[in-house]
Amino acid sequence: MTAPPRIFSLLLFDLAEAFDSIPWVLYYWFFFAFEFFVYGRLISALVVKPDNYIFYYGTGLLVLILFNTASWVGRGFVESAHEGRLKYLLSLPMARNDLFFEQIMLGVVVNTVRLTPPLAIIMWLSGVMTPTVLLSTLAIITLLSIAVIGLMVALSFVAFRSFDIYSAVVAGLSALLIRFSTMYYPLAYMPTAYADVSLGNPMTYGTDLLRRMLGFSPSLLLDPYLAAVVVLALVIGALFAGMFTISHAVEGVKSS
Amino acid sequence: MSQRSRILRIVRVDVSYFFRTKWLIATLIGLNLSDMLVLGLVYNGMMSFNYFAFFVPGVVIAGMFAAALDVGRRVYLGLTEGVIQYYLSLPVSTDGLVWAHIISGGLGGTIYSGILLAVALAILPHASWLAALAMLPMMFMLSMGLSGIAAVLNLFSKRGERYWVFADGLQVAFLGMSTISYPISVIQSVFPGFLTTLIEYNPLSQGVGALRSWVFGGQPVALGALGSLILTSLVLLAMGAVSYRHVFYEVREVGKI
Repeated sequence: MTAPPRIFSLLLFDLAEAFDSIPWVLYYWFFFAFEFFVYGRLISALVVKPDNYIFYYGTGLLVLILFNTASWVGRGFVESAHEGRLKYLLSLPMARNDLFFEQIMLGVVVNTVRLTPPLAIIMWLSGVMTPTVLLSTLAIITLLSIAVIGLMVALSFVAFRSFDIYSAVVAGLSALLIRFSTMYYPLAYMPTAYADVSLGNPMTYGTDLLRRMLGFSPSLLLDPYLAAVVVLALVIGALFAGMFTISHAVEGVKSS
Repeated sequence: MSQRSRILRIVRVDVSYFFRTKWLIATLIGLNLSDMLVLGLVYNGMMSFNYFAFFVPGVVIAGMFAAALDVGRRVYLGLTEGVIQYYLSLPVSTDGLVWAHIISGGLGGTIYSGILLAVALAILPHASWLAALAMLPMMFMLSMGLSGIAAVLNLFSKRGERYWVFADGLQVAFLGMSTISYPISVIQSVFPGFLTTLIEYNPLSQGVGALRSWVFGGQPVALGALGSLILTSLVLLAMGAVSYRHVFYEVREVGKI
């Protein structure tokens, strides 16, 4: 029997650490359940249009959890530099790109575990529970996870200058990417200035593509082909940015 | 040096942390402002009433809650990193240390929400600056009570990452089970009576209710509502004081919690 490649040994180690804390795993399911069945239900009782807003909101919640998990992977990478673990990882006989892909796989697996039960609840309640829909939505979730994790790891070079500035940049970017997108509200209901900003935000396209797979009314969503092209472009761009950062920016640095 | 001046020095150190992370605080305020000016405005267009005017005071109180809880986060970090143990080695009483952290929680929450309140006063019509100034001591009281929640969290999260899970979970539950984002009439139409009562007595609901009616609604101060706000804040504050006292006593006597 041969030993698993180093990238998988590291991934198994990181996954064991990620799932060691049962309360965190349960927290995200609690978060979804509370936000969907309490906040979502009450807000959708106030929302006059669009109809059935609770499902629109629930799908946005899925993307929010995805975004938070991806940020957590990026933050973990930065903290590993702060704690000296990154130096150890860089000294391992493993290609820099393998280290980057290990981080991507970690985020994708954690996201899949955190998101599959809430996704199944939304699909079941909205009556679209079929294997095809499940697989296609999971594929989009995976692509979006890769894109956001790549982006967050690429941003880690900021943390090597100042951890405070990194936290501020990530929080600010999160605010922009979440508020100015279709995570919580359709483009049609945004003021024109906000809608224009949201059209430049790739999360808008990813979220609308996910909703398209879940059978939402096309009148509320962007063109699915355009959305798919933007999501793929984002994935490729984020992968290259992440690989560039890992290969050129992390050597010999520590987080301040 | 008297006990009081020692306590004030610890309060000063605690509150100064708030201003040392300027970038982060500026961004967090930016996040709250984006809640007001993006989320509030867009939802306003999707609802049949002026949701923007309803939601903005809610963001002020939500910001206060987050800032008050942040003091608890620092106490938790202080416990894990030995800072509290250092404080306990100083000539300051355990009760003094308890009050120092509760007062700094109150100040942190008031300063943070005071900034948000100033923005709310500037963007909402018919707001009373005088009533807002009169509200500040109430906000300080409420903020001290809310920081007491963080103390209770410290009591129950003895190891690992439990504190962060409890803090996040409690924040989501307290905000969601309040009238920050939705009026009580909607809650009454969806949830059973006992849950509605619970939501009405949530100190966040009482704080935001006071802001909406007194500062932004031009209504006179209702003594019953004021008494209820003070009472719930005092109950939380007492729970917080007892929790911090227990945690610090354990650390002083046993060396750990």
